[in-house]
Amino acid sequence: MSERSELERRYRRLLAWYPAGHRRDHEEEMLGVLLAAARGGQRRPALADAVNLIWGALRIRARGGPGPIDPRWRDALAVCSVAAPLLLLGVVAGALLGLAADHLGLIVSLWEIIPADPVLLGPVVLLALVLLRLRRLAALAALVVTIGLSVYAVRASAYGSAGYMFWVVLGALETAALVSSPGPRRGLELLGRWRMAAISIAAIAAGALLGSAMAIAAVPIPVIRDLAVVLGSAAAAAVAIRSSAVGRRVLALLAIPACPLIIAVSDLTPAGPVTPGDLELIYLPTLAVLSVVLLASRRRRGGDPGPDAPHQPDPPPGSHPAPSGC
Amino acid sequence: MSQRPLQEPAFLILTALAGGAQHGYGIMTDVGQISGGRVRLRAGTLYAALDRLGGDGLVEVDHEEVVDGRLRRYYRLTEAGAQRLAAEVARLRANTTAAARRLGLIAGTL
Repeated sequence: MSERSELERRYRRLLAWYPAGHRRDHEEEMLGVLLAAARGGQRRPALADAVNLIWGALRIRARGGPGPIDPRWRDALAVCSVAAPLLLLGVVAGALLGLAADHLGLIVSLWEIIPADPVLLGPVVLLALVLLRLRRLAALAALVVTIGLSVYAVRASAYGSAGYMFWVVLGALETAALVSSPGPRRGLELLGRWRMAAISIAAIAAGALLGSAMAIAAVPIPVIRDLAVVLGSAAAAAVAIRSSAVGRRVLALLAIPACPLIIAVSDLTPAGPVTPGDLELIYLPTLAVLSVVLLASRRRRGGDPGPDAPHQPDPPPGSHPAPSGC
Repeated sequence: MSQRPLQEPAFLILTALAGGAQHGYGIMTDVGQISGGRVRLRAGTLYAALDRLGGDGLVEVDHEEVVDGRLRRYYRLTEAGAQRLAAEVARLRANTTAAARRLGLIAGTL
């Protein structure tokens, strides 16, 4: 292989860091520039050029993403950015209550648990940032919480537990919602005061029931608790969603973490060591729902927004149309 | 409304294009000359800046050509880009004038 084609091949590998759209428009052009700037006999990119290309690719990825998101999906993500931390907080509160009741007997002993697992404080901080409408800080906190919950699940050998999977998927959904939507400011606008109050109570109650059930693993989950979790979640969904384009999309997004939630509540995975069958049961339905939601959200991207789309231009960042409810 | 100051690579790219449409490698070499060799613009920085400047409507594609089997795309300054560059020049000039007066390099009261 000649020096030139060897260098070109290596530059192409570096250009693979760029988003597909950018590569389609600029790869050949950038390659021409890179080769024109290369020294005679150069076989591999200089380290500084390689780092510069990767950094440039990350900047473009961070800026653009795959393209404009349908405003209805963006609004649905904004609502989820408020609802998800409420559920997370409920789950963590329930888990702490369950742990305290199961192992220590007294709620006051919560303070003995928290320092041992500071990651459990993450959802509290996350919810505070969301309510303060600090989208970027909240996105960072959501990412830290998701990673923290993942580490926590692995450390507790609970990666095969549908309940822990629910935590992690919910955290990931919250991170995605905060990164790719106008965030809590728009979500709180759409929800309004009363719906926000109703969804808070229902989400925290449902999360707390689930969390306490997960923590007391040795104790059989009473049927009434299952029913309460399901009815609580359904009430939260019904109150938040009504029958609207945005509401249906909120439901679709919440269906992603709902998969492991339903599996956890249904107690489909038997106690004992995790088997490959358990993992398939937990992960495959979640991935399937995620794929359907991604396909649906991309279907009309950049095209006809559909009959129930809002009849208004896409607002610039920071100035959103008046809330129409969800 | 006050605008954020342009970062140096963006300022130098707009300056290079103020002289006429140029392709990527031309902009890189021109920026080196404009800055007296102080700034060496690399491809990653150039195309990240062009992506942002294009998104802001400050530069646009002028034309394309194929040279030795390679695509060359020429960029030019838009009207908004020329105005943005002029505003940045005025901002920098005001700052440097104030600094020069205080240093006694030019006469004045500031």
